[in-house]
Amino acid sequence: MINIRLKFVKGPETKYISHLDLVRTFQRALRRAHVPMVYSQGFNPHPEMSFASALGIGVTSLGEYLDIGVNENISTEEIISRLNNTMPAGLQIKKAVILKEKAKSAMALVSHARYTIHLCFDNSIDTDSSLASFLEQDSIPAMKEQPKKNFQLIEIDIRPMIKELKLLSQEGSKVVLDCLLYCGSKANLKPELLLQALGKHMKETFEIEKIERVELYTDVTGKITSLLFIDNAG
Amino acid sequence: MNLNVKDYIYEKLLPRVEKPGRYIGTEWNSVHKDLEDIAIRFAFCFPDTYEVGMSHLGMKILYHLLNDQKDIYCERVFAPWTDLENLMREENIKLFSLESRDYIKDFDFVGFTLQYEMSYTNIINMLDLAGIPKLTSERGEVDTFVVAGGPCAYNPEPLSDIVDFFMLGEGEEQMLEVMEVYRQWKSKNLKREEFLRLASKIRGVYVPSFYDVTYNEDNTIKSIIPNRDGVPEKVKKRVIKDLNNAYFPDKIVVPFIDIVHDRIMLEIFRGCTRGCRFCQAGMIYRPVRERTVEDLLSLAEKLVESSGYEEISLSSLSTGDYSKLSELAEKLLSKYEKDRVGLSLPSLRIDSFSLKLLQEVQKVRKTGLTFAPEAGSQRLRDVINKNVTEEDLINSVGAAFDSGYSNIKLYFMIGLPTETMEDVEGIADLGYKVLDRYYQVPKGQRGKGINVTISTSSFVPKPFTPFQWEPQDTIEAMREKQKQLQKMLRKKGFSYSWSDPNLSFIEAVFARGDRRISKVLMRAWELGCKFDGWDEHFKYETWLQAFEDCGIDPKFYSQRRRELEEILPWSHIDVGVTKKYLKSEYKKALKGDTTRDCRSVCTGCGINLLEEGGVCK
Repeated sequence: MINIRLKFVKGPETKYISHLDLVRTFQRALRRAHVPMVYSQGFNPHPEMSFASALGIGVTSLGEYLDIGVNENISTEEIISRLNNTMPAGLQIKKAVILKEKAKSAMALVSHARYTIHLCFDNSIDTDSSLASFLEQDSIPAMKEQPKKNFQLIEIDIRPMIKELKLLSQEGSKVVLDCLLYCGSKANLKPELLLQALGKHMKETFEIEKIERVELYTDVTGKITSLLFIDNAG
Repeated sequence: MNLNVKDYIYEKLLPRVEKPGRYIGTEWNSVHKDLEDIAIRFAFCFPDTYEVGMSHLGMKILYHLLNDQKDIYCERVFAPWTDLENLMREENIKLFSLESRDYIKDFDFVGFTLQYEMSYTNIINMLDLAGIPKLTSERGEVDTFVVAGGPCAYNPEPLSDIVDFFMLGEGEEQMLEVMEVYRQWKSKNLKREEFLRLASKIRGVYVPSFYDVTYNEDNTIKSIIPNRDGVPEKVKKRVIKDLNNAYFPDKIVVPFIDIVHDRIMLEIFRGCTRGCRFCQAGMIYRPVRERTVEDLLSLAEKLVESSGYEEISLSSLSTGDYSKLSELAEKLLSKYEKDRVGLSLPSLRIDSFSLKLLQEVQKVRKTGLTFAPEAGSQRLRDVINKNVTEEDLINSVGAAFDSGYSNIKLYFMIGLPTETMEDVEGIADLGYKVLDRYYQVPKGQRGKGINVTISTSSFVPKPFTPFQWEPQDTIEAMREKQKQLQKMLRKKGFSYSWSDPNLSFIEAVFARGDRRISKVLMRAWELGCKFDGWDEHFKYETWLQAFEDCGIDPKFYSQRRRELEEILPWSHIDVGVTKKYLKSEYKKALKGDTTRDCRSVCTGCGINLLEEGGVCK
């Protein structure tokens, strides 16, 4: 089996489809593209594919990742062009790399995610000082839903999961933030939860106009690195 | 943010609903057109949710048929779920199409497909949400035309106040003829009524306002006659003579979200020759017309290629009756094995059940098997002409148990004509015999966790069936029968499920209703009825209120035995199967005489006379 990592964009047209829907959509697009997929063994064989990280409903992304297993040599250019011909609007493959044997999966690697967040506040605000005082806190409590426990709320400290948070631009009450958050199996912070805590801290209300994931990264001995550079065979 | 309405819906409303994926409209193979080249805009409306509507084959066919016409833009519309509806009403957003998110009130046609009676209130609700006048009498020169088709359109009368015209029968040819008449009408700048008059000349088109209905003192119908010249006394349904040359799309929309039937539906034939006397589909979809294996293989290839689906379902009313089923299944299986495209065979009949074939199909997974004996005793099965014996059933389930199946579903109806409690108890007896047969398989060899699911639905007499004259069981009788079965089936290994008799009662009213109950529909909608097919939304008390407010007795429609000579509300509709045949089948039913499958010898139902030169092979 040859493992290939694909980087793709999830645009506005597909931002409302869930992770499960996305999996099915890729399976069908891969079939339409005649990508020679490897199938799993067992009772209900399915094509070998795994996504780096599930994206929240309503969030667009410029940097999503998916590993697939193929059983024939196929060039990355070929895969990109074939798949982009069979993708519905709102999904586009940007890059593909062939991975080394026994490469770690994107899902196992991913540790951080960068987001751009567009907010529209009800009042005009001093964002810089608000962000500074927000980040100065030793701990930032937030109430997280636990999907596996009937969506019961649990209080967690999100401060350790915020790696960066800064103002990108501001025009009156319209604010664009940039943040780098922990993402993956070890620690995971969704931008919505960050915003909930931020709003509470600022005692301000705002409308979320857009959340876009910009990129996913892996932590290589403390260095934030692109998922395309790890275990890259080429 | 200053957004236009389309973006506002997408960016501001959809994030607030439970399943925004229902309203995206940019699925693979969905059609998006530049309005500059468009002369006719058609809103194809399914009066239920996206998940239900997108599973419907007819919609897939007609969507692409219309869109293959350069100057026609057909878009899809489904009933918004109540969360979106509430938001739309709060914010004064009108019903929009999925593809362009334009308001459908500005389209040339708003077409509804009528798959079941309990979706009728959704039609009114969708028109209301769209801002289209709900009554045909209220629509003026600038308004869209509201059209309907589908199996329930064969008794169009309960919707006659609401729908401007109906298309009866198969739509592949008729639809394009109506569009052509519309092009000409539009270019000549004629009056609204003139379009309806021109359309009524197309075979299969029925314009209710062109007919007058009079009534007798006992509330039965006295006459149904055209009220102007040039309108046919009887409207004949349309059939496609040769299915192999009929339009079938080579691409289908592939939904993002999970829908009820999420697979390729390969239509292997239309019609059914079995002649089960309760079954409306078996009568109205006649004659039987098969597609050839070659045609189907080529269709399958195109559809697999264009959709990427991983499963093909062989679709028909009775898949086991396809004359070359094994050949087709084997060819499809061998062709797609390496591509991992699976095959499913719904609607297999017990007597045509081939376990070998099924095992071939379900190589790995042993899911459940479903059988529909429909009635619990041989006597009653003869009455309904379900030519299946207890021996057939036991042999079939036996073979299934022997090869490791342990999950069997059995479908029955209660309330069939002439049914006694003994027949009902026969359902449970049959269940026990099935269970016994499972325990005959030695312990080590049989599948684990036996589960025999027995489901009973309540019989609803339908137009154009031999039972169209029959009363429906009373609600009390249906409940009593269900209780008896609940009592008898309390045993490990059985699960029993039943349908709501209140719902079947209302369904029976609209199945055989006349024009006068249009106003009950309107009233029920005013009182808040919608999504009646959904348990959580069905409001029985409200329905009774609506009947009372209109001074109409629902029992007149559901529980009354009709005289054979009574003029029925659909007597001006010709589906090909003659009244003479239905009468003779009815009489035979009451005597318990069966009628053979007409594949072997013609039984004279009359369908062959519908078209010049005949249509049966």
